[in-house]
Order: sequence, then C-alpha cells, then structure tokens
Amino acid sequence: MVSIYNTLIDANSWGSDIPASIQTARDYYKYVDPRNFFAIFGPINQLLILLALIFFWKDSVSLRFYFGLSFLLYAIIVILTFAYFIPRDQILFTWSIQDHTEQIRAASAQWIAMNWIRSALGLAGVLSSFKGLDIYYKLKH
Amino acid sequence: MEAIAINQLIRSVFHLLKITFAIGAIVVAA
Repeated sequence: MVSIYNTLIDANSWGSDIPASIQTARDYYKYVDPRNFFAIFGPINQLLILLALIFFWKDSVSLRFYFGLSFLLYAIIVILTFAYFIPRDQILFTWSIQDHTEQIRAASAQWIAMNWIRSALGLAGVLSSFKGLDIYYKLKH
Repeated sequence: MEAIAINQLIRSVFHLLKITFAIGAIVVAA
C-alpha cells in the first residue's frame, strides 16, 4: 500500500509540472529523507520472511514453495530498487534541473511506470504468504 | 504429565513464533 501511495500521490506530485514540481519535491524532502523509512522496514521485511521460510521449512514442501516465493519476490524488489529506482532517484533529486529537464521528465515517467510493477511484485509476495499460512492451518486441522 | 505439559507449551510457543514471522512479513510488506 505504501508503494501504491508512492505512485499515486508522491511520484505524480513530483512529475506533475516539471521543472517547478520537482523543485518543490526537493524542497519538501530537504529535512527528512524518505530512505530513512525504507532502509529500516525493507530489511525487517526481508528478515521476517526469511525466518518464516526457515521455521516452516519442515512442515511441508508446499509451504517451502509459498514462503520461498514470497522471499524471492521481495528479493527481486530489492534488486529492482537498486538497479532501476535508485539511479532514477539520483536523476530526479540530485541532477541540475536547468541542465537536465528532459532527463528528469523521462526518469519521472519511467519511475511511475515501473513502480506499478514493484507494487504488483509486493502484492504477489503478500498473497503467496497468505497461501502459505492457509496451507499450514489446513495441515494442522 | 509435567513433561507432556512442558512439551505442549514449547510447541505452542514455537507455533506462535512461526505465525508471528509469517504474519509480520505480511503486515510489513502490505
């Protein structure tokens, strides 16, 4: 849900009237860096799903599959973030606006489009964990 | 009897721990 909010509200706000809107976004993030949030909750999420995978490992092969799939999907999100989003964040928030207006516009559009993919991966990871829990309770009762 | 009760307690705690990890991952990811 945070990711969908990022697309619908944050990224649309940054890109709504470039160059003025990106300058406004830079001013907004001047005192608090949003990375402070993701740098904490991202690793916590990855650690929790890894622990779930380890602790459910012996219960059944299908549980291994579904929690393993969640782990894999979240790992893909991390890779996508470093390989795709962070380079575009650099363009959006550090490059000179006057000299790179077109690149900033392109980065903003690419960021929004790919973030729908990132949200879909996260949703698939959550649904996979739901399925794992569902199988676990069916096995137990 | 006590050994069985302690065993059940350990199983319950282990079960809760597992569920906490799985639900925790869902809550944080969602």
